[in-house]
Amino acid sequence: MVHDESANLQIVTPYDSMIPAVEERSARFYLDAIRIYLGICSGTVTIENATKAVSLLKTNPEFAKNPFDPTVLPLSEAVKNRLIDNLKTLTKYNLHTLDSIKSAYTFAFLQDDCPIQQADLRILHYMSRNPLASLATASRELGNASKTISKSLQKLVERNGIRFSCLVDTSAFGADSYILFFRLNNREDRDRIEQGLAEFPFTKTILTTAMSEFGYAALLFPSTQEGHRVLRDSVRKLTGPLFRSTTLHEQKALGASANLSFYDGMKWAYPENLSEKLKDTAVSINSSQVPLLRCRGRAKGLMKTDFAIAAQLKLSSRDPPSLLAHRLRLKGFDVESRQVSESLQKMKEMGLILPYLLLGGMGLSANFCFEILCRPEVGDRILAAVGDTPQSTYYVSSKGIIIWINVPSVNQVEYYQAFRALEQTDGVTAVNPIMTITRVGSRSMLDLTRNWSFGPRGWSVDPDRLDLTQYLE
Amino acid sequence: MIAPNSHQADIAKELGITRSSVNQVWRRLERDCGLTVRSAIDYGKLGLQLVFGWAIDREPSDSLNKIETWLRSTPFVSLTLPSIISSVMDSRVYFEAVVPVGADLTRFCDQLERFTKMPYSLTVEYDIAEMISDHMNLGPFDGSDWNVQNDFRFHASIDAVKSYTDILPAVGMLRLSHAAQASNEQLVLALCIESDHNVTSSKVLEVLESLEKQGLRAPPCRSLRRHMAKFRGRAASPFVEIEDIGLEQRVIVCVSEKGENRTASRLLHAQADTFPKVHMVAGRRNTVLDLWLPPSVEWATLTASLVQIAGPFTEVSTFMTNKQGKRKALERVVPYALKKATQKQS
Repeated sequence: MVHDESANLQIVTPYDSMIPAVEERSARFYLDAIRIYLGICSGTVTIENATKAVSLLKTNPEFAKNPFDPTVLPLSEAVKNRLIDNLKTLTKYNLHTLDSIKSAYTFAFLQDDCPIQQADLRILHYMSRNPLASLATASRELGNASKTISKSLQKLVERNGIRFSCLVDTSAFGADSYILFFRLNNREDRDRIEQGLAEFPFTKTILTTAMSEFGYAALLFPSTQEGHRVLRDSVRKLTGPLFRSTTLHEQKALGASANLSFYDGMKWAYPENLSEKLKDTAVSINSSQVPLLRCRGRAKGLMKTDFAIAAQLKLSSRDPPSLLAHRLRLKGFDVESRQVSESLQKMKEMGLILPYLLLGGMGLSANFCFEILCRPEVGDRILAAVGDTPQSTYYVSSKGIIIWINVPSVNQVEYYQAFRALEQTDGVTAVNPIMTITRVGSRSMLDLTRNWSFGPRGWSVDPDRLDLTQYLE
Repeated sequence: MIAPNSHQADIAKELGITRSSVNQVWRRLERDCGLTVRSAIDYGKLGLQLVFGWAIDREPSDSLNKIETWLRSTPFVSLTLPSIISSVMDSRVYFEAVVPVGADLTRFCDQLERFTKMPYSLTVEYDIAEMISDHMNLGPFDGSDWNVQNDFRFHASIDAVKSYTDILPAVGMLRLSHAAQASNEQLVLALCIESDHNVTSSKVLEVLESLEKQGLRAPPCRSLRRHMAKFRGRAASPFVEIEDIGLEQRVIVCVSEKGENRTASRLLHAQADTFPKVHMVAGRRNTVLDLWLPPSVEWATLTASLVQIAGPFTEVSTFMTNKQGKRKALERVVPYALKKATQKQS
């Protein structure tokens, strides 16, 4: 009997007859996500109804493993056509397995390369350095009409799938970010571990692949000494029996950057001196050289609404306050544009937000994550060099640095070898790489904090809930 | 597409064109793209066995360099391919060796085992080949570009075939027989047929005569023709080889199966002819696909599709290599065997 979210989804699309009926709830998650996306694309579903449908979709346990939210993905005719093609293929081969249905969804979002005209590239270049610049400022500095810039950005979103996002210093709200990087004892345990981590209420992102025994889980939880102790103890208990090795990275700083210097609108050039820069012991950086958000710990004067606004801003950092307020009201927050505007200003002044440009459809099909265990000064050197890659996100802890890079497949070997070779340099203990074909999504800050309490000292929960062994033993 | 068994006259008849036109195109392809019809050989009939496998270390290391150097210097190693990136993010060296059975084979395997121990401590997976095959599929090639499926359809087709592996036929594979004794003349004949399936008897005779100093006797021409026809029929399987057609990316797919039913091997064999160019080797536990692909094929996406085959008893990994090294199976081992035979006689 179907008694879960699928039965309650009020979504109708012109493609419903192509969507196979399956029993498995986790497989239905991807079919429902496809239905919502196709509904939005074809105009049969309003964004309000889609948002309600997604909140139902989030109750499916599969969401924690692969937090795809079709309402925040850029609408694209090419993606829509690929989804329809993939549904036809599922029907043709009579494929109803979880793996094939999940792949039908993920393969459709693998971006096609789409060349960029020089005029658009100039605007994109500017926006990569000034992601929050208003159209008026951009118009003044670039010498283009603001309408031209607006049209160009719209084209880049539709054709190339670029997005504007931001990183948030959650420690200011009393929520700490950790990454548990692990190596599996036995690859056969992968599904069980992924399931356990998905059920752990503080998991933001999980990455495990069939290709590698390395994986990680990004966690977000209320900052208390007792909570930290419970989590550390439980990870220690699991290391050995379940994981061959683990490293728990406490986030000290984070950053992201898009670098278009090596892109000519068609192809990417490889930064020839990347290896030398990574090894250059003379390099030292300061925060102005690399976009970096340092975690400063609890800050005064922040409210739950500020947290919600920051969470919404992550989905689309160039949205105007009125749109952010509208989207938050759909999620049950009683906020007005003026409040959003003031909150954004406050958070910017406090240095809690780092906006960045997320590139897409520009031939960056190779994705790597490297956990680099190293001394802090080596981490600084790596940060100085990582900005030369086309797209990078980085996470600094006291144990080292974790970086994610998106690079063109034609140079994937050079990038991989340059970072991997760090293992041979002084001050680096280990470099643990993972390769993926898609960027992994992340559960939104609002979803994670739904059952937490917010008080004068920020977020709090019962520290015993951070015992990971309850989910993985 | 050229059927490897067809002579130029057969091709002309099939296409309804003159033989001289076929010959003209053929010559041009030979000149510009190195077109040849080579043979996969049943090494067992020559007293040889094909050993294939891969050595693994966590990262590029001295131990891996040492095994690679040793493999390259060993006379019966026909192919050595180091990885530049692997799906497991480790470093590997793939090898194939055609080894005379007996003391040479024992010594070779012992040496491989030595690399698993201190101070090298490498993981070495190796197996004796039971089947080999070569496929070339020019269907997706329009003369300048390849249109190779590397999307959800390819992914789905693997998933779809998964359920039917036990009934998939193993056609097009050359089964390697248990090692039997062979004369030096047979070795030379096999060497000639391996590099050119349609080699003429006069050319083989020329080679045999040039080796008379090493004690080889060229049989009468008629007998030689009979021997060649018999060998082609029993121990050689032709395949087309063509170069410089944009297959610049080389990927090795390594499969280890601990179970009994060889599902992955059958499935890969069923999918093999969907790739532009592939050499496949299958042993009792391990299977390897040596793929030549156009640069448009995303290695990571292809790997994600192939690792679907992995299961509780099956490990699947892939790696890229930047070496274009050709297999020199009998080319390496036959001179060694002849030299050894001469030393024995003297």
